[in-house]
Amino acid sequence: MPFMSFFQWLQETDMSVAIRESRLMFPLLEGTHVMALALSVGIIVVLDVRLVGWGLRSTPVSRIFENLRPWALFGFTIMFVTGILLFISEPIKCVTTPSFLIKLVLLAFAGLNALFFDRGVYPSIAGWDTSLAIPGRAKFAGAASLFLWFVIIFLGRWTAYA
Amino acid sequence: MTFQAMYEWVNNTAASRFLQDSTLWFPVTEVFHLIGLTILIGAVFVVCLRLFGFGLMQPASQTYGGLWGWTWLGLALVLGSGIILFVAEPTKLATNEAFAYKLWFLAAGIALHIFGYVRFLKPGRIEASPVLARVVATLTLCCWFLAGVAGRAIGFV
Repeated sequence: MPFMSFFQWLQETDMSVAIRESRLMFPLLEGTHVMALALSVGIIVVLDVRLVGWGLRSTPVSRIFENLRPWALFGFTIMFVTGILLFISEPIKCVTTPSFLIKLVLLAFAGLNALFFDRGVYPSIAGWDTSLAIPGRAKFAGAASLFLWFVIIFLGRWTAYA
Repeated sequence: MTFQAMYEWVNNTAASRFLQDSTLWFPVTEVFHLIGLTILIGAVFVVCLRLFGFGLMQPASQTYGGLWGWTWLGLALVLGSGIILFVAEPTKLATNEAFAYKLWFLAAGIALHIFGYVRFLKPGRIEASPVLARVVATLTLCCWFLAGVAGRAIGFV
């Protein structure tokens, strides 16, 4: 594993030791991470479900996206910050655990998928906002997001078990 | 049959033995438990947002109408996987304080869901008593979040 000396250094910083050895901090961070996940991924599921055509079909796609995106981002921010802190508390364990590394790759895919949707699909929203004939690319982005997030949850749980 | 005897009986069933011996099925079930909670909280949160004046600018009953199947799917996943998780370690959970709290939040959440949430989201009901609708929404959301927090705490206490 490259950068091992960096992760070694990180693991010995005061912050890492403090989180790792605190009986309260680690459970609090992990609990917050999981509940922020339930919130942000739960909202993302609602957005994806509409794109795929499995729910909220009487609601325009743009209404759902414009109203719910800030809430999803709010939950995501909490999940991201607590995730970084959890990583700082045990970097060596993380980078040597396969499920964590795959999780990082899939998180990058989820980000690229969101970017692809934002730049490549959403600009044409006016043509299909209230239509039930959702373009294939939008359906794909929704289905890919659902799949990626569920696998990411799986890998996150697997990392905790490692 | 006392509770203790019941826990021990569950602990000795073939299903429980199988789960205790498997290192795979317990964490897999936990993942489904968490995905169920995620689907449930997402669907409930989006509806509740509207009751407080945020979220989708359309009647909350319309939002619920488009998501009710997901609400029930989330609840079914949480309960189904939760029963499997209980069967896997009944005697440990019997003395776990966080688990006891979780059961109370779960019971309150289900009661609120069936007798409050679902009824209030029929068209016209919210407009008739908006304050009560907000109370029901707040309590429902609190119950699911706290059930999740207490559930996560089971592994830490």
